Amino acid sequence: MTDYFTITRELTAPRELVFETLTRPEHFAVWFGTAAIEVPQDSLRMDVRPGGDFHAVMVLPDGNRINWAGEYVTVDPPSHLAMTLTDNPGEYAGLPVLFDLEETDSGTRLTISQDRADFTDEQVEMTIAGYNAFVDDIATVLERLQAV
Amino acid sequence: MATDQLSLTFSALSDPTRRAILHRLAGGQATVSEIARPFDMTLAAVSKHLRVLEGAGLVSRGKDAQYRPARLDARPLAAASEWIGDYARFWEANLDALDAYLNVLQQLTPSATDKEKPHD
Repeated sequence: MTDYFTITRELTAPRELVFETLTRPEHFAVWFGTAAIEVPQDSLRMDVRPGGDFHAVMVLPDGNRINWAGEYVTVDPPSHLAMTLTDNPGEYAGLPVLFDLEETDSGTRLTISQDRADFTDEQVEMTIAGYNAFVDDIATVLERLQAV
Repeated sequence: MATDQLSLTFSALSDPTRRAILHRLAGGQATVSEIARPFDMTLAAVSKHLRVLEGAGLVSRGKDAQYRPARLDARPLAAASEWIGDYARFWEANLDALDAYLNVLQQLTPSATDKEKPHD
């Protein structure tokens, strides 16, 4: 499988509503960061149009804050949203995260993916394969050492 | 800082020859000429790829002045692998929250879904 950068979820809600939860601060503040991490609604800046700014603050349970920044790239309700997103404001935000919404019988299929020009599936696959090979290599060396 | 290392790692892995060299080195250290043999490549070309891999911290070279065997160093691979896992976990957790929120939202405001519901 090479789905490391593609995450798909079937949601039992109409596509228009799902799109709203992605693009309206009063909704976004609720789910972004999960229930464990507070995202104050007044910290959100969501100028949802191509070239518009995104800004959010996550308040961690220990009081530390994480600043998020980004820029909307494509806004095509209710089927498509693309935005850059980084927790390192000031640094290169990377290529956009893509949100694709498809209507299904039970609601909406939401697919989140990172533009593949940044990291290809092949690169990701190779990273994991290379890592596993290295671990195997270490295991072989350890076996040899123990056999001596 | 971490992002730079990640970019270096993925960039080094973007070339099929360099990936093949890493595969070779995963089987044990090798000299430039040993690496070059199965590839039908010049020693200079192999050395160039090794320098890129070295720059990304994926390969270290021995001190033997004449042969300088190359060894795989997989720590950047581990970091990249961990980053990939973190990325997936971040969005999976957020989608769990979004899913739960949508369910609550629809119970609170049934009108939000009226458009989509067929009338009974």
